[in-house]
Amino acid sequence: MTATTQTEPKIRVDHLVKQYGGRVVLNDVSFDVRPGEIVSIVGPSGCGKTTLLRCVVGLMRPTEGTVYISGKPVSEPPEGVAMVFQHFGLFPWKTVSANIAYGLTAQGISRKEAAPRVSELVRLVGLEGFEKSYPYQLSGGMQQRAGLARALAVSPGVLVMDEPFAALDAQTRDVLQLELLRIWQGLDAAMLFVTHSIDEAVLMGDRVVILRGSPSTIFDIVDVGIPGPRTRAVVDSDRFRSARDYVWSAVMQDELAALAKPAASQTASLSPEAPTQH
Amino acid sequence: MSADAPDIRAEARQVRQAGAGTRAIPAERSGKGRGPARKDADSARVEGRVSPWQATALRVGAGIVLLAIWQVGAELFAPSYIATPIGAIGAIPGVLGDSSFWSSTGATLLAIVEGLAIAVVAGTIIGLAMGRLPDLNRILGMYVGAFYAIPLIAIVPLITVWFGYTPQARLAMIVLEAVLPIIYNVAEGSRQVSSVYLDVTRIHHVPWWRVWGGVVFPNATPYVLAGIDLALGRAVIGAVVAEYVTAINGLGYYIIFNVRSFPENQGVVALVVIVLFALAVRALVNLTVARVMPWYRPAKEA
Repeated sequence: MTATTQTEPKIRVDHLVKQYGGRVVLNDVSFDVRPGEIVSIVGPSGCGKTTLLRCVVGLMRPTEGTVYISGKPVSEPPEGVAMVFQHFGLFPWKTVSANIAYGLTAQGISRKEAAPRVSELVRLVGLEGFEKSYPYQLSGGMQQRAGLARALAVSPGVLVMDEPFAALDAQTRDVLQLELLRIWQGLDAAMLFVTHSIDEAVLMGDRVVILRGSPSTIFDIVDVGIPGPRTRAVVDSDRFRSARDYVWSAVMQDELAALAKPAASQTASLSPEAPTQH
Repeated sequence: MSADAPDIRAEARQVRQAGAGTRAIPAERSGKGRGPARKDADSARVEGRVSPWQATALRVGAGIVLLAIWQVGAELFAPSYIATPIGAIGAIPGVLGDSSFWSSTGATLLAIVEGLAIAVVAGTIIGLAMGRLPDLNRILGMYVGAFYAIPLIAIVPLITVWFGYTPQARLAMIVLEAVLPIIYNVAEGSRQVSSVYLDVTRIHHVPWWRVWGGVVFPNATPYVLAGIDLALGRAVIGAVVAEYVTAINGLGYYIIFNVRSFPENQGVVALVVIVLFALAVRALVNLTVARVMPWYRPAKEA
């Protein structure tokens, strides 16, 4: 990790430890996210990615260590942080535009005052014509567009994504990844992007934090080194491939070992999951 | 990484649409009706085979058969003063021309509406608080459960001692009957708030009273409505029973007075009025919900 900090990091995670009961889930996790940077967090399922993220946004307290957002230690959800959820978290009783406005109206801004900002975001995420729809009338992809718009509405300095595309089908996910990268061009924030998809982690992240082990610790932080703006073509580049292969083998090492060892003879036909989707 | 099991057709369609332009979105809007059509296909509900029109015909037919059994049974086996369907129909003009019937109807129905309104407001507030404050629930939960379990008719004598033989006694009875199912249901519904919603409110620093009003309450809507449905039936019971006991002016008293002095058919007419009123209130609630909460999708009618 060669994070030479010329600028103050937006997010700094400092020797974070999280315990549930007596069990240590995360051990000694430290990294930071600079302004304008996207950092992906990837690791096998159950490795505590979401726990780490919840500590970052102040929804949960770490057992030890501290998270700093814009230099201030976090104990409660801080100002200027927005989050996008795996299952969208849209309120079913609110229309798309009321959902998008939620973060603003929560601050006491009236719907009327919020209207220009809301329609700006509706355009940004491509939901024109659906402002008055209710979430149940939208596909999953469109619901997550609304979820993203709600997060962006408050102009957050820190955007935190908790497996935002995991509940979507593969094609919708591809579209939304690129959409998010496009939208990201116009923003000046730091993004923490949690995913279990290795391709997604490498595609989205300027750097990729790999969590591994039990309890989870940082195995490595990979500098992907693909300058923006990223497009679909990135996935065919050698740079992307080598980064992805490295992350893949790092994440999967434990799992492959576990799979190969005990029952190698009888499960020869049971191949490990394919590294890439076609 | 989990391999996705792609539904090739649906996704191919989405991709085509999504690829058509940078702004294009999978326009998978599911109809204008309430609720996605897909849901119907998935549901494993036992579907009847008759059409709605046939169902109505059968329903009316079943009612006629029941009334016929009553009519024939009463004529064959019962003394002549026993109420019969034909007798009740014959009694309608007389009842409608009776000014004491109208004042009774007005008194009872107004009391029920008033009592229900009090019960809905109070029950919702108490229920929300019990659902969100575990300590309060620990303190009050047992009493709500206990009162819910006993037949409140047993309390009527006590209430008449406290309130006298007055309309206030009836109102107290209605409120007591109606408030319990609302508290019970709203508390249950308020506990069932998805943690994601609460995360959203915490991230956006929403004050607690806005969380209750703007998230917990709408989230509990199905429970509130179920509570109102139960409350309506119990409110009617409360009103009629209170009138039986206290003999204050109302439909319950009208029924018991007529039945005991032999114009039994008039009593039956009053009974029908109560049933029609309950159905009307229910329809009104459903209509209001459909208008005020277009997002709310009740389970399809049976």
